[in-house]
Formats: sequence, structure tokens, C-alpha cells
Amino acid sequence: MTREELLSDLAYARTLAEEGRHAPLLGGAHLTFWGVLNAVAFAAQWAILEGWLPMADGAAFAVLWFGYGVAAGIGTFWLNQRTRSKPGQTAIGARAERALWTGAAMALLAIVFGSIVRMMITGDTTAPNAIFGPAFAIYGAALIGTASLSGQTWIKNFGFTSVAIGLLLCLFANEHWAYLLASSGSLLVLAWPGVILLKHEPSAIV
Amino acid sequence: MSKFDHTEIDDVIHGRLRLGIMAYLSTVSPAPFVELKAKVNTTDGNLSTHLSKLEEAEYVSIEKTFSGKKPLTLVHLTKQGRTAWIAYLNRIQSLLSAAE
Repeated sequence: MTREELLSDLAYARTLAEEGRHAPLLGGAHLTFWGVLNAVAFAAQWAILEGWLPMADGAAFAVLWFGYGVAAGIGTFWLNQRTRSKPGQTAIGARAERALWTGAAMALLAIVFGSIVRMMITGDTTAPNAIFGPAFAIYGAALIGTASLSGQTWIKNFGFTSVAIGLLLCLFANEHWAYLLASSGSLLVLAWPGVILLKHEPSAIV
Repeated sequence: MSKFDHTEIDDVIHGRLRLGIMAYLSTVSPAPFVELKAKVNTTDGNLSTHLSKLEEAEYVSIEKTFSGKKPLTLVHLTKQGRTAWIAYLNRIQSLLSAAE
């Protein structure tokens, strides 16, 4: 065995290891789905607050967020089924992505649950306005973490933008227009990178 | 061209195909059999033969399961396999350093 042969073998091994290290992320469909769903829900919330929907506020909010919950449940179930057939699920980047977004989802659930219970106990109907600022900060953290661990550093810019939107939403939480900002922010920092990731997603294992 | 004492290299790992399998599994584990086959660009039979050698050495483990109704074969890098892979890389590095 010569040094050259050995170097050639190592170069081959390195190529394969890097293919695994930089395997495409599989969360594009989830990001796109949540980005669009949140954008629609936040825009509808703004329309209700502005009195543009012909229902009493309480009924309109109930219909909106009940519909959101049903769509979220069905969509997540379907997307999980879809992702199962994709190669590269156990690549480091994909595992990091899944772990970070699972943690983010748990943090978001805690904030949503806490805010809604506070509204029910205290009657403070502005309590849910405290959800979307921290939510965008959490999206940002998950995006930045995913970018670092997957080596797909372009995602970081969406993460920083999300954190900035989170800051603005915390500052202006009780303004009606903040929901429009959240709506467009969802398209910007979730749906946009989601579509980019979808384009690079590998096809299913046959 | 300089010669190496190749007896110092782990023969179980150091076939070109097995080297590729170990390298890929070092970052993607478990990997579906079909994904691994595509990555190392070989046939079902050839990959099975090489995986058997790695399995005998307990460097990989094979899991047969189902994805929905489709059978799915997953190849895991074991703890011993990862340790052997790191030892292999260290050995190669020291051989190359010694030869310089």
C-alpha cells in the first residue's frame, strides 16, 4: 500500500462523511406549513380586532383558534408521515433540527397554555398578546441552532430576523397592527426558509 | 513511493467499500440500507457481504423493521464501531505523520 493510495482512500471516506454531515434538512415542509398557517391566523386575528369580521369578538376568536388547532394537528400528523419516507433522517443536521424544534414546540406550548389560563383566570383578554413576541424569539433560537449544527449557515439570517421581530412584538404587543407584523414575519422567517429547504429536499427512499 | 506497514491498520475497516460505509455511518446512523447502497454506489449483494464482515466484528448492527407496510433495513454504527473508526483514523494519521 502506498501513501498515495491511502490518501485517495481517505479522501473518499472524507467525501462520504461530509455528505452525511451536510445532508439536506428535512424540516422545510413543516416550516412552510407553520409559516403559512400562522400568517393566516395572525392576519385573521388582526381583522377580528379591527372589526372586519361579522361575528362577535368572542365567537370569532373561538372559531379562529379552534380552526387553527385542528389544522395544526392534521397538518403536523400528515407532515410527520411524509417526512418518515425521506432519506437522511438520522444525519446530524436533521437530528439537531428535530431536537431543536421539538424543544421549541414545548416552550411555545408552555407560553400559549400559560397565557390562555391567565386570561381565563384574570379575565385579562390582552394576555394572549404576550404569546407571539416570545414565539418569534424561540423560532429565532431554533433557526440559529439548526443553522449552526447543520452547517447551513444561511438559515442564521432568518434566525436573527426572527429574534428582531420578537423584540418588536414584545415592545408593541397590544397594538392591533402587531398581528399584521406577526403575519408577515411568519411568511418571512418560517415559510421562506421552508420553501428553500423544500427545494433541496431529497426524494423518498424507494 | 513510500511503503506502509499495513499490518497496523484495522483490516475489517480498511477495504475501500467498508471504509466508505464506516465514514458515512459516522455521521448518519442508523442509515437505511438503500440509502447506504446509493451513497457507496454498490450492489445489494456486495453491500450485504461487506456489512456482514462489519457485523461479525460488531462494528455495525442490522435492524430489520417496517416503515408503514414496507420492510426497512437500518444499519447502525455500534459503540465498538465508533471506537474502532476513531482508532483507525488515529492510526492512519500517525502512519502518515511518520512517513513524512
